[in-house]
Amino acid sequence: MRITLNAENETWAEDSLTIRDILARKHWSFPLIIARLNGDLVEREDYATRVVRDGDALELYHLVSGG
Amino acid sequence: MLDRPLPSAGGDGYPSGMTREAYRKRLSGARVGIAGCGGLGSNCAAALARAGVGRLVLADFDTVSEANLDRQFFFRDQVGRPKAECLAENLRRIDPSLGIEATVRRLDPEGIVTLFGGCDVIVEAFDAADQKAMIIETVLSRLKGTWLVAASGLAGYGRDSALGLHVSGRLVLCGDLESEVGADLPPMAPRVGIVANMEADAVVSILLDGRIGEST
Repeated sequence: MRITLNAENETWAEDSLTIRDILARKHWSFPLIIARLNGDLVEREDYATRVVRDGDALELYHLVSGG
Repeated sequence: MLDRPLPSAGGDGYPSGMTREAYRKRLSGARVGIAGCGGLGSNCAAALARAGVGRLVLADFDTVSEANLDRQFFFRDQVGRPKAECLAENLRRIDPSLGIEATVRRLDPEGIVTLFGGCDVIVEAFDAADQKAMIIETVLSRLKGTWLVAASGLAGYGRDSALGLHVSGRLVLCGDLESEVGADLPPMAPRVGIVANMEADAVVSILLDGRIGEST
């Protein structure tokens, strides 16, 4: 599968991966993330089940405290 | 100076032929929500007031403390008073004709929809990451037509080239997405101010152009 992750191309051998799989592959263990799949917000409790497929656009943004 | 047209279009990003007065006229009709009146919100609101945004909706539950004076747009004689009210006073000293609604309350999803539902753009200016997530999730799911300009990653000093603008539909994230405030990495006036002004600049771009960068 070939997707865009934060507007950069990513290619993996699998046909599909969950958002949690992708976070693990990237070694992103951030506690607070905003995830959008093809523009739609993905709730945190759905990261383990929401499937990303070839051609999808995934965005993952890390939120940290400070203001 | 007042009547000098800004540079015209052709790669520099300015709409053609607009004068300072035309910009201010367009901004004066806008309504912008400021969620949180701390380091980000107070400085962002000041920039928007100076730029000529006509109506600001301010909300914060907290009071001004002495420690806030190292980076927030408040003054020593305001210590102990609600930030939303003090910020309204300070903004009116910049422009008495500003339309300001100041609310002293802790924002939850219901409050965000009620208070900011009529805004053209909402600025996320909270401190805690879980509150940032809360407002982003609320606006993306319940106020889909409204732009949200948020901030993540602004602690410490230096590394200004790491500060960026991340545009995702009508969500704009300002900051480096990693510098978290902590005991060894305090929020400091210069870098907080840069990100607060990045947020204000994103708001102005959205209000004047209806978009930001390559987004639609």
